[in-house]
Amino acid sequence: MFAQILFWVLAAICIISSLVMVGSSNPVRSALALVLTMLSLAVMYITLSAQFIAAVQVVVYAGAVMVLFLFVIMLLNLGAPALPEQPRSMQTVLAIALAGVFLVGLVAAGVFQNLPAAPISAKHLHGLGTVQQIGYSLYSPHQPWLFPFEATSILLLIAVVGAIVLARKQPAETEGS
Amino acid sequence: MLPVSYYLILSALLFTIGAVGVLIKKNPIQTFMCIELMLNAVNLTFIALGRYFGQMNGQMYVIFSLAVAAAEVSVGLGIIVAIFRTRESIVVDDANLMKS
Amino acid sequence: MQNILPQLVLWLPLLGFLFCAASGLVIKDPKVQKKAVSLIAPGVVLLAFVFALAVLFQTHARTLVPLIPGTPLLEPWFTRYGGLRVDFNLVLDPLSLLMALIITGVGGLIHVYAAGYMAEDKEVSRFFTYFNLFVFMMLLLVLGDNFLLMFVGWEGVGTCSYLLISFWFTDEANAKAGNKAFIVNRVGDLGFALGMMAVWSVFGTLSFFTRDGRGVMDLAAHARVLDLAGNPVPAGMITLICLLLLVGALGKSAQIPLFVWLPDAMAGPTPVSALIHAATMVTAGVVMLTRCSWLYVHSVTALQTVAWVGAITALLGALMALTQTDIKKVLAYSTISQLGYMFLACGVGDFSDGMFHVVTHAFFKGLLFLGAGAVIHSMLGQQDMRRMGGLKKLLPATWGVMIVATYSIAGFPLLSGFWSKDAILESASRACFGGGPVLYLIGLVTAFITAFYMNRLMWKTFYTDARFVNGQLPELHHSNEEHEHHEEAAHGKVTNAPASMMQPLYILALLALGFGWFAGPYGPAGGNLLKNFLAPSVAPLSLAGLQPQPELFPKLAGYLISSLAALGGLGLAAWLYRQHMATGELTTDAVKDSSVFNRLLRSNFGFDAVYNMVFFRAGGMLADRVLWHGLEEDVLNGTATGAAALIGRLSLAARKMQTGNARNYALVMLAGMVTLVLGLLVRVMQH
Repeated sequence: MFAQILFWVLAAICIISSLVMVGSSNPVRSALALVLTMLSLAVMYITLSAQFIAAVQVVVYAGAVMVLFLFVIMLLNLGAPALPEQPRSMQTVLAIALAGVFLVGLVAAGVFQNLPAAPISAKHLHGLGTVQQIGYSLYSPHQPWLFPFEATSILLLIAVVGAIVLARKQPAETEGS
Repeated sequence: MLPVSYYLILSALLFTIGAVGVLIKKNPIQTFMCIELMLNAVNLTFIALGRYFGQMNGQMYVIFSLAVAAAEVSVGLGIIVAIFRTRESIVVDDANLMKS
Repeated sequence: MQNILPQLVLWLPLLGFLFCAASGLVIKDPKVQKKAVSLIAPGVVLLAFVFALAVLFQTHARTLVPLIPGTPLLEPWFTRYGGLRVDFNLVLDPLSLLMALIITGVGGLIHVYAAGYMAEDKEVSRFFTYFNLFVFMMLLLVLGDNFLLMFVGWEGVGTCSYLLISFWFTDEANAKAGNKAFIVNRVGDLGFALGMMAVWSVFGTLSFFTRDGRGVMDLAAHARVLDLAGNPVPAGMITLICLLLLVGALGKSAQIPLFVWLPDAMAGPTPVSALIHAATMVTAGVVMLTRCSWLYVHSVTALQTVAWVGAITALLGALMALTQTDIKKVLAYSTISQLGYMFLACGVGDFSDGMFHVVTHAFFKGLLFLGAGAVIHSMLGQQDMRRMGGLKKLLPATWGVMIVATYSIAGFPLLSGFWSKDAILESASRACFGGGPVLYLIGLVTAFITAFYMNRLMWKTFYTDARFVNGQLPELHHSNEEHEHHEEAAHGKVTNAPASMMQPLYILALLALGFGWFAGPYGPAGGNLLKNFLAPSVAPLSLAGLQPQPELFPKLAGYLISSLAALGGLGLAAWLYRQHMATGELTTDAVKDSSVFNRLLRSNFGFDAVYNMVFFRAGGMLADRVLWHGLEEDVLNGTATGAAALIGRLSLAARKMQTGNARNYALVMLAGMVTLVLGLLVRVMQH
């Protein structure tokens, strides 16, 4: 019962804050709404026995990524809503219509799939989502995740280098102007 | 646990909201946030189904998805900064050089 | 050793061809090149003749009775293509050996002659390149042990014929004559190709003879014809094969209705006319009929067709020769007529006498052409007999050989032509399918006309008064003038041909005199040398149970009748032209033009006109109106431009989709996702 109430509350927060994020023309407000969405999702992850992921969600997404967003907004001075949205352009109408069809399709697929509730009860989860399990999955030679893990570390390195290259001022540009 | 369909439908809703946001927002920062929202929606699906089947695989995918999202954000924001620096505007529709 | 010699015979002319073709690269000095080519080209052919003679004297104690099939060269040559297997095998039997001897022997003599005849031409090496290639192709045709090799040679000689007819291609008439020969031969070659395919589909093999007796001719050499799988071959299929092959022979051997190319082929240099269009290539049809005699004897229908086509061609060819004024054209029509005799012989099942006539004809017709060439050479390119006359005094040697050849072809008793022609007439009179007397009569009338027009040629050229003053030519003949342009032209004198040109003529004259007796029924070693020699290669009529009809009259009476016909023709011409010594014309041009018969003859019985009407006018109309303006311009072009315009318009519309706006593209991506989700939904609903 408690879990049900929690779900509905969290779901409501998620949806409302994401709608605020999309609807707001102020990027700072959008960013804060997104933080709220992510935090409520993190709580939801705990109820789904993904404690480690929940922690990472808070640290990486709600923390680092969103701070980065806010930082860029402040850096570029985009805080003020300087961009009036053009209401009801063809693009907007089509986008909402298509998205509606998309949603209906997805929901219908989910409903008709008609999966039974939790085939595996919490007792038999054997510590699903604990740090131990995550560590075992990532580094065990019997699991397929070791190589992707290493590849991801290289990806992150490349991303860091790319970000630095992009953010650096071009020497030719500064000299030319 | 609640029926997994609830989570899937919530995820679909969030994904759709994110998709609409990508399509209608003109501020690239907000577009980016919408993309993050879509990624989160998918993460929710992974975790819900992983719990449903009692497997670690769903959570492992989420970990990688997180890493990719972090990389994407860093590069993407770098691009936005670079665009702003050269064009003094970051309105998405202004960047239409793809038209011949 | 036994296998090497025939291969040498075949490959030597090819070597000569390669040398002539490459001589320009090897030898820089044109004079030296000319000299080398004029030596090597005749040399290789004469050497090949020596080897062919060696084969003749060496093989199987001179009897040559057993067939010697299949001298494997490169095996397999054309392998298993859809089950088809054709090996590069040569067949060495009396027939192919005889033909190889004629091709290299007569061909070698004509090569020697040509070296003199073409000496003044700028492109001697090109001429001998084609000439040697022709000899090689002709040898391949007669030596090939299967239809495909024969076809390669068949097409090869056709190509060389085309190249040599239009040798002086700067004159448009020559180029057109080459085209005509080539195109008319297409019709025949199509027939040959179809016949070959029919053979393949019926018998399952293309070989003539194989060691294990599984070639087409091996299979056909029984009273009941079985195919490779042992099933009986229906008689209708044999008839079909024979008739299709006959179409090929009609084209190559210039028989009615495909004879129209041969008179025009005289546009080539005279040695070409002598070798290709008299002695060898045009007899390829007869050779092929003889090679396939094993098939033909199984089909009375095919035999009958061959015989009647031959008889009619013989008569019409002789009639058309009557009105010609160009010395070479007379000989061309005469060739058509004589080929008709050979077909007649094959048609009545007397293949070996057909080949007998091929041999004697090669001698006397080659001689006639070479003699005519000598006359033309001496007259500085003049071919019109109306401008000749009185040449007997000026060219006594040429006259001497020409008179031998004329009497031989006319069937003057005891000369070569007499024996072979009489043998054919006798066989025709005994045709196994009836109608013998009619065939005999046609042959006899043709013999009479032949004697007449040949003596007409002699009188117009040699006996009547000279129609040019004191060796001074009135005017040069227009065609070929610049090509056959000689140094003596400046003097305007009639001069004798050089000795190198005359010597081959003497040899041929000897053969035209004596070969008929040598190979004929009263020759040495019991007579009928050639017939006995050829016997293993030629199918007997009795194979299919056919029997010749009884003789009409005794042999001696037959000889007497044909002698009378020949003498009558010769005498009538002499008697008539003796009364018109000054002009050399029996009547005036006006009388000739008013005569329907004369005009009919001069227009080739309208064959050319009909072909022009049907193929050029109607075909051109069809091509112009329907195919070009109708089909191509309206339908095809319309479709093409219409399709292009449609795509252009669609592209203009599609171009609007490229806005360059990233969000628009994202929208399209969403649309794609929606499609995927809907597809997923459909699958979910189905379960």
